[in-house]
Parts: sequence; structure tokens; C-alpha cells
Amino acid sequence: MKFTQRVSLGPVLVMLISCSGGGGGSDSSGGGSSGSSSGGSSGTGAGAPISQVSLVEVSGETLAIEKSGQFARFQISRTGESAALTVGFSLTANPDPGKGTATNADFELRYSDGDAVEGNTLTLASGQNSRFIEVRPVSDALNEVPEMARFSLTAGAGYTLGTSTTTAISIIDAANTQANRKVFLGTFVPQEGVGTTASGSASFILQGGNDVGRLNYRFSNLTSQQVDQHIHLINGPVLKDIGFSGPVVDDPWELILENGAPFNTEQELLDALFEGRIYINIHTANHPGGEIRAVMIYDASVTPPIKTVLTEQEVDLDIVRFLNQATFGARPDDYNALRIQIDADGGNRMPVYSEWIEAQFQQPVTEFLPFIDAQLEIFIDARSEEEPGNLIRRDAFWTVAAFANDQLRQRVAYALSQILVISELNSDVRNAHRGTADYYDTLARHATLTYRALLGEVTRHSVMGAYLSHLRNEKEDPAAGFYPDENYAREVMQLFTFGLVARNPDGSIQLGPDSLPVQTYDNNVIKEMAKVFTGLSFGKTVSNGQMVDNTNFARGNGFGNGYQYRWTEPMKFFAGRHDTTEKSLFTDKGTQLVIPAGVSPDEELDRVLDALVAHSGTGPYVAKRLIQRFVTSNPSPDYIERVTGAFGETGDMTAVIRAILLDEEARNPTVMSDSMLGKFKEPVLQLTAMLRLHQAYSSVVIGNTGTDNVFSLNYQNAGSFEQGAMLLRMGSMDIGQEALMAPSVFNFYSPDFSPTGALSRNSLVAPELELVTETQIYTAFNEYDRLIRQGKRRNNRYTRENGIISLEQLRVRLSDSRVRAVWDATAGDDMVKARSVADFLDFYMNAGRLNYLGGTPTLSAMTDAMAASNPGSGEFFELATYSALLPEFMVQK
Amino acid sequence: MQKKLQRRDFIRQALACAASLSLSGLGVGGILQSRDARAASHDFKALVLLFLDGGNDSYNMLAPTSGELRNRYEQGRGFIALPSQDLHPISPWEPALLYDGTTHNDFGFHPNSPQLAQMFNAGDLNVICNTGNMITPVERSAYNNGTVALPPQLFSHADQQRQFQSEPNNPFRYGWGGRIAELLVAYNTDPLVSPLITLSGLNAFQVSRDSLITPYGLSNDGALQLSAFNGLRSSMVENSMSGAESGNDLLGQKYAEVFQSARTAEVIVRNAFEAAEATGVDYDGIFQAAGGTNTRTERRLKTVAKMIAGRSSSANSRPIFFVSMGGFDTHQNLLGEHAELMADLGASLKGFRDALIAQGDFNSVVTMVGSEFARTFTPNGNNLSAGSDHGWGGHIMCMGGPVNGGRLLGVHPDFRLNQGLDTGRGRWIPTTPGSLCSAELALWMDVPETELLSVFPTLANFNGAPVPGIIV
Repeated sequence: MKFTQRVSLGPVLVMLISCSGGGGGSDSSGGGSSGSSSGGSSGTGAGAPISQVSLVEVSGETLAIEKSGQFARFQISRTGESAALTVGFSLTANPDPGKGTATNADFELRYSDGDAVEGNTLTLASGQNSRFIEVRPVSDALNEVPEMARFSLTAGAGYTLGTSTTTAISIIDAANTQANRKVFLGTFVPQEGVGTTASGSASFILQGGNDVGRLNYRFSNLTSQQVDQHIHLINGPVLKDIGFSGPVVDDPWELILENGAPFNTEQELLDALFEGRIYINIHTANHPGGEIRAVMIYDASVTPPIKTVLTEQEVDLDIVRFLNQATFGARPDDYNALRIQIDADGGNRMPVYSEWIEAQFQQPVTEFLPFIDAQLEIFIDARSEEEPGNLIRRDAFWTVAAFANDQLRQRVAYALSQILVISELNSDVRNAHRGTADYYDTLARHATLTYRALLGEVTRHSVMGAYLSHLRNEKEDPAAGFYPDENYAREVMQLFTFGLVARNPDGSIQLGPDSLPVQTYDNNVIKEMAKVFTGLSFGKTVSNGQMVDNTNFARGNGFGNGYQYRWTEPMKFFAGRHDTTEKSLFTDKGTQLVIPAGVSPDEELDRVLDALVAHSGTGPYVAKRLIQRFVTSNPSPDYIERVTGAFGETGDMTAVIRAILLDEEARNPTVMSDSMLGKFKEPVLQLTAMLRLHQAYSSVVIGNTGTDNVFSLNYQNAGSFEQGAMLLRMGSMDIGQEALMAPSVFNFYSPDFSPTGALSRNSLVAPELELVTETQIYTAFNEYDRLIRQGKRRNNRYTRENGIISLEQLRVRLSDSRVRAVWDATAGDDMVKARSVADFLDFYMNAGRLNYLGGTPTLSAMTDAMAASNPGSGEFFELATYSALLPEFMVQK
Repeated sequence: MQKKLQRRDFIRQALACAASLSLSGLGVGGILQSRDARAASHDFKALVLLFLDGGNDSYNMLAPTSGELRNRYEQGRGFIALPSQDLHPISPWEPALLYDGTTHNDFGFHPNSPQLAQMFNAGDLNVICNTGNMITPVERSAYNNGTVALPPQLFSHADQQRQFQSEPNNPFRYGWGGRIAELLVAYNTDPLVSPLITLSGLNAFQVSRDSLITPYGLSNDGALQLSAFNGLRSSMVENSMSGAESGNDLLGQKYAEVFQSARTAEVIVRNAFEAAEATGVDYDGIFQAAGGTNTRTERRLKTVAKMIAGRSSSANSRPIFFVSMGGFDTHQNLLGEHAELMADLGASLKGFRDALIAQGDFNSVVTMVGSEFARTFTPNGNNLSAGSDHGWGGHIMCMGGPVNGGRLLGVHPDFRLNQGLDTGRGRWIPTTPGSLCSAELALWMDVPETELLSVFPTLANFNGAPVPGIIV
């Protein structure tokens, strides 16, 4: 506005002024698209056919939820003439008169470009051929059945109607989560005029959508044999017959109008339920008209319980889900072991899981460093030069994932490696291969210690020092014009502990008085924090083959010598290089951390690390990331808060892992039919699951059980691997991800990545999908094809020239024995056998979800293909293994 | 000449009074007319963002070679200063305007990127000095007092990358590439292949606002084919993928969508490559002659060039490409690591330019080279292996036939520490908001002027700032 005197402003400036709220004095429209809706309608489309208008459903977005505010969308689109257009529409009733119909009071309509929908008309601007309309639910206090909002275009001037003129969305009260369930309780009492001492209690738990619930009740002391049981309306007829006798466990009751129901609509039925007009009636031989009854009364004060009584099938699926969360892939033996214990424990699975976790943490740590050292002397080339150790480490990952006994600990280490990130894309990390192996072992060791202890080891680890450049970091010398490196100072706050913005224990962002997120620190804190990490250099070095103290701050990297003590031993402070001035650091819970001048560097570092881990934001930060790695991409705030509680002031890792795996949200079997919960499998875990289920093998055993054609590695710590474990020296697997190979300290994916499309429109994140592009899918398909058909081995001169183990012995293949056994053991024709194999694969790789859902196109596609193949040929097994790349198999529920 | 100086005056005033501006440097009326004419015939334009991931130390990419500015450069940079005699001198159309109001003419590109100097001097490339993410104009005093709005999480990689590729505000909603693709839907009518093509995986730049356009991920060397994908295997996979919508799971559905996209786009990409082959252009020879060593960046740009050469295979006439090049987070050994990066950048860009010229498309393609931030001017060590830390304002480069080449646009820092533009350690307050550069390229792509503020809302705070004049 200041510049209105600059008369020669073009239309753009006019736009800038008017859009920023000023209005200016100019009203020239400048060719904008709006404002010409009437006059321009016939101006542009001289020969074009008149607009043909349609309504289109938006896949995956037809559900609106009152409580969460989730909105649905539909689309108006047209072909033909593209002048500005106004189209009429009407809201029509649900074609099923018994079901709910939404009224205008239930929602508001808004275009997804921000404009409100005016009246019963939709508008398209000139040149605009489609527009999305959001159906935003209006929150009311009513208990309502799912309501359909059905939109139909009406005929009008200036357009014709296309073939699709009606689209419908559904509005429900609340999502079907644990927290949104409503509990109805009842107590069995004698019917009027009946003498009995029978008693019992009942509950009905209605899910958030008010359309279905589960009934539970039991009773005792009936006077005679039970003959019938019903759900009744008070002073009315039977609403639903329970088709069996005895106690009722989790019987679904769908609130629909059955024959003879005394209601016109399902809403009337729901109202009767909330009004306490429905009861359960038990009929006996002595009292055929009913012996006892329980009126179901809504009790808002009762917290819906976690489902503790599961069907046999649900327990099975939960065991496999648990194993896929806690190991590198579920297998029949692992499943059977848990199933037997659970059966022995009367079907109570939680204590069995708890003991399993404890037993896992008692397993000795499977260490990479000695395992790599043991292989260095084997993999040499024709000139006796050793293979770069980092390659051996990369291959060792698959062997450990497939066969290590401490599966859970290794899963924790892998998850931690995606928070406390180092990456072999950095040449120092690559070259310091013993240090890098030791770093990974450090992560594994701390799976049973504290995050605080781990952060101390990580901060002082020279590989981290090289990766985030606080190794050999000198205190500032402003006169000479240099300042300490800020890299580690920044990332230890932003990525390793509390993050950029203040968070509540449930992970939600804290807003300040200005309604903006509260920042946890500013750049001054970074500059001060950088001083804490000055003066660190190698703690040890080598002299005449012996490990000795390092006395030279500027000591070089020394990758060449095989010992690499510089990289396996912690860094130490060189006091003269450390900044000893006072440091004013971050503020938490109203207190700023200030380290006075003169504190010794080690004590100072410990105090800073204590405060970093105890910071109120660190628990929720670490909790959410770990939950995402093990269970679900979108944990509820309550789940995060429970894990935050386990984290405590020091980050008790055992408690955190237990809290994550045993949480009701992790163990709830209803996620199987939920479209949003769970996580996309990252490529590494997808591959390890296949290696384990299909018994990947080579002809090199880790222990000493070799036969004529099998080479024995005779590895001293073979006991940390399971019996018969084989070396899986596969070489780099081109699947889009490899452990310790993230592109940067920001890991493989962002924790809040939300892919374009239905996920992002539902405000859901899916970090692992950040890796999934057309190229990645094709590359992975082709890599799996090589693995399945030819097997894989690291193809380099150390493989070919070592003179000890042959190329063929090193080839890694998948075994077809399990799927073939399923085929052979199934009686029936090929379709039956093939379905049995498909179910087997579904059960272990997918926790039986396809079967649970009653079959899907994928299950038929697998069955048809395998049945049509020759079971004796390789093709059968190729199809069985390749099926792991089908969409449902990529998701861990 | 007179007119150009006038534009600079605007910029200075914009900085001095914190808000002024016009896009009049563009001659907007004329652009409107010609845009309509072009829109009718759906001529072809492609935008390429080459993103330097990690924070390019751009004050060592282009450095002064003489004079007072050179003295300040050497004092400030210390051990990480590049020797003057090793730089490849440039002959700017006009001297650069410095923040202190003086001008400076003597600059040179990094010793390992003679190609950048060649292209600059040939008028095919320009530099927009000291740009960066900004919400509103910033004065040093207000920065120090905390009384001015700054881009959230200034100096954090992930946030500043996202902001450079979208807008300098939170929360993230869309990338400007993705958003302008939505606005250019009339130009991109191919139902089988996305106009958003990435050579470097998913990224913020190509996220569309209404989640309507999904980027297509191309491999370094073009589209791949599935091996042994036939018979029962292909029918099993296709039947499952096409039924995924009924699988009642959004994660699996997304995966199936990407797979379907790969299947449909595969043919188009193959046709594009065949068409590129048919042009007879010797791509490998050209990139090699430009100094290339077949790096990943080079292969990716080569693939982009071929996609453009074979554009007749698709109905999209406004494709937007994304290529990123990593390794720029040079906290240590800046001299060594940056030298390798600069060699790669110079050779790859020159190869790309020469290929586009050979295939006759250089006038239809604009390539923007940018990074999330530049780095601290002062080093973080007292020896030759010192590095530099996260900074703020830095140089953007634009290349292409339509580009106003051979220019040092905007205002260059005067390199005076602890005053003027310095927020500490030579983290310069940007003198041109990055969004203004992006906005000018959006206009070139024929995004309607009326949409500019909806794509780049923070530009409202620079009401009065002229576009930098990147495009002729």
C-alpha cells in the first residue's frame, strides 16, 4: 500500500494488495477467473458441447466421523464446455428407509479449495472441470446410528446430467476405537412371579459407530435346564434370538431391524437401547416364559475394557502379530512354542508374552564385532588381502536377523539404529568398520539398560564423533576466527532426545501464549551446547600392536591398521581443548540448565546428558519413534503417554519395550479389520520375514556341524545363533533399504511422512511409504526374483578367490520345504491344496488377516495361480514366495 | 541499462523499508498476453529443481577474487578460504550490488567448476545472491531482540528443506512444485503418467495440496522392467493389485497404486527413451565431454534430458522434475568434500545444458539449483580440515535459455561480521526471499498471477518486492 504512488504497477501487484486485505482503490479484475459466472457462460465455448456434469465418489473417503471431525469428500466433474457453471443438487433419503439419513444439520459442505458451498448449488469456475466438496460432520450430543448423506444432481439450465449423478457418504458418531465404546450393564434378576435363586450379570459393549456391539453374560443356579435365550424389548417382542444355550462370550449383535421388529428405523432401536428398554431373557424348562432377565442400562462412567477373552482364532493371530512385532519374522516353531504355553496357561496370553520377553532379554547378546573378526581371515583375495570389513558387517546383518537367539534385542538394536543414526554412506563410518560394528553392539547391549546410559556411550563413541563431527572439535578462538562445530550439539537435541518443539507426555505439541508451538531451544542454545562437545578425541590408539592411551588430540583416523582401537574405545576429553566457560543451555519445566565455569568436562557432559534424557520432551519423542518401529505408524496419544511413563527420567529400555509390546493398542485383535492401524513393512523387515519363514540357507554353517559338502565356520560364539544357523552372505540387496545405510542422520524416512492420497487426507502418517516409489517397487521385485530363482551371494573377488569356501557353498537360497509340506499334507484337489498353502503364507507373514477377513482378491489370486502351476516345478515355489510382495502382505497390522 | 538499475533500486528500498515492490520488472501485461497465446497451443516447458541436500556452502561456490570484499572473505573464512588464483573468473553483465551499497565485479566460481563460469559467461546461467527462507523482511536488530517472525526451525535441515521446497511456514501442506502442477492441470492431461517426475525418491517439493497428483519415481537410468514377469506370476500379481482397493487397508492400497502407476508409466517412459534415442544425440559423449564421470547426479540429469527429448510420448506439456544431490552437510573437511561436490555439480549441469542444446530444448527448460541454506561464513576449526555449520542466506542458480544469464541478481552480502546481515558466525540474513524466486519460475510455467499468493502466502509480507528478474 505504501507504494500506490508507483502508478505503473501491473495486475499482479493489484492482486497482491487486494489479497492482503487492503482492497486498494483499484478494482480492475485483471482477468481473474471469478466474477464472470453469468455473463461469460457462452462466451468462450463457441463450438464446445454443453457441459455434462457428474458426481463422483472419492475412494477411501466416504466416511465422516463426528467426534474426530474426520470429513468425507465427493467430487463434481464435467466434460464438454468449460464456462463458469452453477449446478443444483439435492439431499435425498437413504434408499433403505430403516437406516439413517443425514439432514442438513448433520454436516456442512465446503469446497476443498476453501470456499463454502452456498445453498443447494455447486459452482465450477470458467476452465474448472472438477471440484472436491468436503462433507464436514457437525458434532452434536446425540447418539445416532450411521447416517447416509446422499447427494443427487438436479437438472438445470446450461448443463446436462452425466450417468453418475448421485453419490453417498456415511456419517458416524465416533471411530471404532477402544475409547469410543459405550458400555451397557445388566444384572439378572428373577422374572416377576418366578421363585428362583438364579443370578448373573451381563454387558453389552457398543462400538463408536453405534451399529454393532458385543454381548457377554453368564448366569448360574437356574431351577432347571435352559431352553432358550433372547434379547427382548420391554413390553414388546423378541428382538434377537440367541441361537445357542449357556453363557455368551463376545457375541456380536448388529443393530439392524430383524423380521417383526417393532421399529420403523434402526435409530428407534438405538434409542430404545439408550433408554433402558431392552433386556436379556433366559428361559428354562420350569419357566418357559422366562426365569431371569437383565435390563441393559447405559453407564457412561464405565471404561470399556480391553478385550481379554479372545476366540481361538484370535489368539492364534495375536501370537503371530506379536512375533512379527518382536522378532525378525514369525515361524511355525516360534508360534507353536507360544501356543502350547498359552494353552497350558488356560488361554491367558499376556503372562506368556511377558515371560517370553523376559527370556529374550536373558539371552546373551549376539555381537557383530567378533563375528566379523572371525570372517576377516577367510574372505581374502588372491593376493591375501582382506575384504573391507564393512562388507562383512553388512552381510552379517542378515545372518543375525535370521538366526540370532536374541531376536527381540536385535529388533531393539535395529530400531535404535534408526534414532541414533550413523550411516555407512559416510566414508569414516565405512572405513572404521570395527568401530561401526562395536557401535551396533552397543545399541544391542543397551536394549536392557537405559537410554541415558546408551546416549553416554553414543556421545563418546568415536564413530558417532566422526559421523556428527564432534571428534577433534576444538574450543572457540574468536581472535583466530573459528568456532566449535555445532553438528552434534544440534542433533543430540533435535533428533536424539527432545526434538524441536515442546511436547506433552502424550506426544502432543505444547502451544505458547501466541498459540504457536513452543520451541525447545534457539540458535544461542546451539552455540552454547557446541561448547560442551569440545575437546573430545580418540581415547586409545595402537603402538606396536598394543592398545595404548592416546595423548595426541589431533591424532589421525588410522583406519589402515587392523586393530582400530581408536574406533572401538570411547573418546576422551583433552582438557586444554575443552571450553570451560559457563554454558547457558536449554530450559525445561521452567528451569534453564546452566553449567557453571570450571566444571570438569566429563562431569559437565554427564550433567548435560542427564538433563537431555530427563527432559519432559524426550520420553514422548523416543516413545513415539519406537512404537512406530514395532507396532503402528499412528499410535494414539494415550498409547504414547503410557510408553512415556515407562521411559521415566532415565529411559528404562526394558520397561519401554514391554510397554510397547504389551499395550492394549498393540494387542487388540480388532485392528485386523481396521483400515488405518498398523504400519507398512519396511523393506529390511519384509526380507527378514521371508528369510526366516522360508528357511534361508547356504552351505556354510556358523558352528561346527558341517558335513562333506557343508563348510563349518567353527565360530567361537556360535551358541548365540540357533542350531544349524548358516551364513547368509547375500551381498547388497537392492530393495531400497539396508541397516546402517540411511541417507542422513534424519534416517530413511521422516516420522511424519504422509503419502499423497487417502492417507494424507485422513491425516495419517506412514513413514515407511516414503521409500516406496515406482522405481523402488520394480527394483525390489527384480531383486526378489533373483533371490527366489537363482539365490544370492556377494559377488566379489573375496568370494571367488578365498580358496577356502566355494562360490556354490556361499550361495544363499530360500527353501521350499515348508510350503511343499503344506501342499503334500493337504487332502483334496489342487485348488484345495493351493488354498492351504495360501492360508499358511497368510498366517505367518500376515497374521492370517486375509483369512480373518473372509478371503480377499489376493487370497484368490494366490490360490488360482498356485493351483494352476505344476506343484513339482520351481514355478509353484516361486509363486508362493513372490506372493509376499502382494499389497496386503506389505502391511503389518 | 537504465531500467535494470531501477529494478535494483526497488530491491534496496524493499530491504530498507521492509516492504515494497512490484512485479513490474516483468512487464506483466505483456506476459499475460503471450501466456494466453502459448496456452492455446500448449507449447512445452519443463522445470527442473536440482536440490543440493545438506546445505551448500555457496560462498565457496562463488567467491570474490579481489578488492575489499576479497579481504573480508579471507578474514572471515580463514582456513576454508579458497585461493583467489584458483577461482574461475566471471564477467557479470553488471557488477553485483553489495549490501553496504557498493558494487563489486570480481568473482570466480569454485576451482573444480570451470563449467559454471563458462555457462555464466555464455549467458546461460545466473546467480540470485543470498536468497533464503523468510516469512517477512528481517532486520538484524529485530533478529537479535527476537521481535521478528522467523521461519520455524531455522537452521534445521529437515525443516529448511521442506520450507525451501514449499513455503517458509508451518505446518507443511504442499510443495510448490506439486501445487503448481495442480494449477497447470490443463497443460498436463496425460492420464497415464504424472507430470511430477522424481529421480531422487519422494520429496516435499512434489507434494500436491489436494493430494491429487502423485509423483512418479524414475530410476537413475530410466524406467525399469520387471524380470520374469509373465504367465501365472503376472496374473497373480495383477489380480491382487487390482483388487487391493477392496482389501480395506489404506497402506496396502497406496502400495498397489504405486505399482499400478509403475505399470502404466512404464510404456510411456520406454517410448520417451526410444524417441530420445531417435534424435541421434550422443548423450554419453556429451556428458563425458562436459567433464562427467558418470556420477549419479549426471545419470539422473541425463535421464531428465531424455524424458524431455521424448516428450511426444506423453500429453503432459508442463512436467516438473526433481533431482537431489547429497553430501553438502560439510561440517568437516569443507575444502576436500566441497571440491568433489563442485566437480560433480559443474560437470553434470554442463552436460545437461549441452544435451538440451543438442536436442533443441534448451529454450524450453529452466533448471533451478538451490539448497536449504548456506553455511556459516566462519569455520569450525583451526586447520585445513575445518568445516562450516548451518547458515541461512545463500546463492541460488538458474540455468536455461529463458534465463537472464550472466547476471548476479539481488543483493550480495558485504561479508562484514557482527553487523549488517550477520546473525552470528556469518549466517547472513537473506536479501531475497527464496519464495520470490520460486514464484517467478511458477509464473514462467504459466501459473496464473492470481494464484501466486495462494501458492506462496508469505509473499504478501513482501508486498512491493520485485521478482528477482531470473527470466528474460
